[in-house]
Amino acid sequence: MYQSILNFKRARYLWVALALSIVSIAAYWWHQPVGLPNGGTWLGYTLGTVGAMLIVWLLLLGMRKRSYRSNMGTVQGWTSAHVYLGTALLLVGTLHAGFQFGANVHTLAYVLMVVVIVSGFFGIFVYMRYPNLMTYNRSGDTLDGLLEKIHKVDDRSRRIANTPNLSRLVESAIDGCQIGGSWWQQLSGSGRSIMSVPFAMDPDAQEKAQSNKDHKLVIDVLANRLSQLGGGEEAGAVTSLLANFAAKQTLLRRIRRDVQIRAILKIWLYFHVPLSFGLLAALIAHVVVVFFYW
Amino acid sequence: MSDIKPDYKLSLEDTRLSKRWVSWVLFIGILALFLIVPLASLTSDDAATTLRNSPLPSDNAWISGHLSKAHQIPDLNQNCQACHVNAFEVVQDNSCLSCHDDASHHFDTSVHDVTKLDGARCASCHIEHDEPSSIVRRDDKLCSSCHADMATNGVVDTDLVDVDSFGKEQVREGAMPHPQFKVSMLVPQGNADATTWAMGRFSLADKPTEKSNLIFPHDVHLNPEGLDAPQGNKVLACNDCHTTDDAGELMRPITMENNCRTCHTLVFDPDAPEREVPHGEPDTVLLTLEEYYSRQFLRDSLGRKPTPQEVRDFILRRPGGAVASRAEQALNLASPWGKANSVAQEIFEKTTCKTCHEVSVDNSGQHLSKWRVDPIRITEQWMPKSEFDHFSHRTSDCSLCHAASTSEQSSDVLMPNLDVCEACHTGETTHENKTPSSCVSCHQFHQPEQASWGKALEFGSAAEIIKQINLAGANEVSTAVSKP
Repeated sequence: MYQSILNFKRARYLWVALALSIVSIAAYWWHQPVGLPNGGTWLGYTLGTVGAMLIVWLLLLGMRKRSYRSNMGTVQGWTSAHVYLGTALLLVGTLHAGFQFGANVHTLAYVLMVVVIVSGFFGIFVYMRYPNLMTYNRSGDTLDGLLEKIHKVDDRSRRIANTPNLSRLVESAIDGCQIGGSWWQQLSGSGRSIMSVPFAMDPDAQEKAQSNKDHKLVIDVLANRLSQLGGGEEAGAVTSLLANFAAKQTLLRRIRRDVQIRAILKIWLYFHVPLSFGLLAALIAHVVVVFFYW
Repeated sequence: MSDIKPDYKLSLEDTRLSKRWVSWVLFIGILALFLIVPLASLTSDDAATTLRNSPLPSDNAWISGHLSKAHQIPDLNQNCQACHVNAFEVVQDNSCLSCHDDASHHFDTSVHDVTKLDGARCASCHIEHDEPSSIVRRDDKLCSSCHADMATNGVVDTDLVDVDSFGKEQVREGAMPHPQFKVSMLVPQGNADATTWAMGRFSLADKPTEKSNLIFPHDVHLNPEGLDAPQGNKVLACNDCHTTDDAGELMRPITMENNCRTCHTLVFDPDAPEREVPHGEPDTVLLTLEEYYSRQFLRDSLGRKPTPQEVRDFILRRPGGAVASRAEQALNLASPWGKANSVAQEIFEKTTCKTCHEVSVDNSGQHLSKWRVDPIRITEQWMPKSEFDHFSHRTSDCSLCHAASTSEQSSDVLMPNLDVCEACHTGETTHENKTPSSCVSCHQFHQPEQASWGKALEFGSAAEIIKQINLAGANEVSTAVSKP
């Protein structure tokens, strides 16, 4: 997908953006205004108008994405143009400002524009990097498939647990297993699984809830139990449970990584989109103010 | 998936993160804080002042750049409406002229039919909120946009020569270089008794000579071995005579009293070095001499106080008395007059006066003194069309620009020509370490002698006014002229 955005129609919009950039730079270099270059010269107004129109058009991508019946070009084409023209906007906006900045509403609009564009760059970066990692991590599976496997592993563990203590241990581990969670847990890829260990297996823990992060605790407890048992049915069950939870641990790691990648692929939009609307507000204020105090 | 574990939050959409409400908050918040609230505050002065003094953004957050240093005063800095009077209207000249009413026009608009500056506002050139650039235009284009081709730009009735820029290095092919400098020089007209002075403009290319009527050889005064002054040998430097005004820009006028008299005393009798003739009219000089020698005759020539008989004889000089004969009296009385005359001849024709002055003899008997001294006027400001600051050139030796030490005649014009300035200065951009100098480094746009920018007359209005005056009579002259 990422390749097709950047290479859409042989990077048609890259050339459009490059042309716009070159024309802007040439005009800026050629133009010799009274005083310093600024937004108030004819070139400043021209670049400002181009920039403002670009911002509005770039914002319209959000609408175009939602209007599935639209015939105005493909979403892919729009996104490709969005990326290239958005990058060119960085130059157009900077030249419009004439490199003059201050603590005012005008620079607020500029800063928001830069932050939005930079967050967009991050978006391009993650779209280029993470889909491959996602495919690699899933190893041909899907998230639903992985969850289904976990479900099956859990069912098997319940069946294997042949003593009350083992049953309680397994049930607690399954019950306390957490996948996903808050935006931070999704992004950090750290599930906050918990469990309580039956008194007989760990008197010191007092059956209190403990962190079972990465399912290490349940595997430790089972391994410890196995070391205490000389043999017999329970030892066999514990061995099977160990294998089960080790498999679950691997599956969970894969799922968490998958959730993490999905979150990374989306998190920048939570900055990109709201800041775009902040930029739109600052842009409106900037334009009104400039002509209010002409 | 939902069948397996419905409460798993596996996507950011499932979390509390929201694009929608953050977007609304940012959009409405920024619009309200930076536009709507400051705009609303402008409906009343109190509200505007309150908001400006609060930590919230007011219309002060709309300032696109700092005001220029000169405008950074509370009345302007805190009050946008001081200049931006009407919303959605560019700043009008009246806002500027309310303080800068003395800003004068560039040319006489009633005489020159030049439309190039029509519609130009103060802010067309004086760009505010554009720091760190200067609010005063210093680029050559300010001038060259008209002066590079005066005729094309509608200026035909002028003696001014087309010019693109200063500095020979800056002149592009086909462009007009700066012409040789012209000096404004006083020229005497009439005779010694009725001299008037006219101001003439002379190109230094024509090597003009000054006629100030002063005899002054610079080379003699700058003799490195010194001069024979009353105080002994004295080596003179330029600034012994030439000192700058309080601003350090121009030289103070040279006067006899301030600059010459220390050495050039007006002593006329070596036996009385404390006595001097006044520096004034020849008649006064002669009178002084006569009075001096009469007194000397009466007192010093006798070597004693006159006797009562001699006094009586002097007072009661009657013909045919017992007193000294009239011939004797005449001889006695002629003596001081003769002495005074011979001394006067000496100082007028050979020494004291003649050292510096052009002296002629007028035997018409119109004046007490037959010697007439040509009046002196030394040109004080040679280049009034340019601004020059001696202070900023103080590290340079005077001789770098003024060839005084080799000047034998006071008629030599010692003003530097174009080459002298171009040796160190060039146009807008530097070249071989020369100082960049744009047009306004030396020339002003606002010509002090012209009418105020706000009150400049329209072309032809002078002729129109004169017509009105002729029709209405002389009484209405003042009213008609004072009309803007």
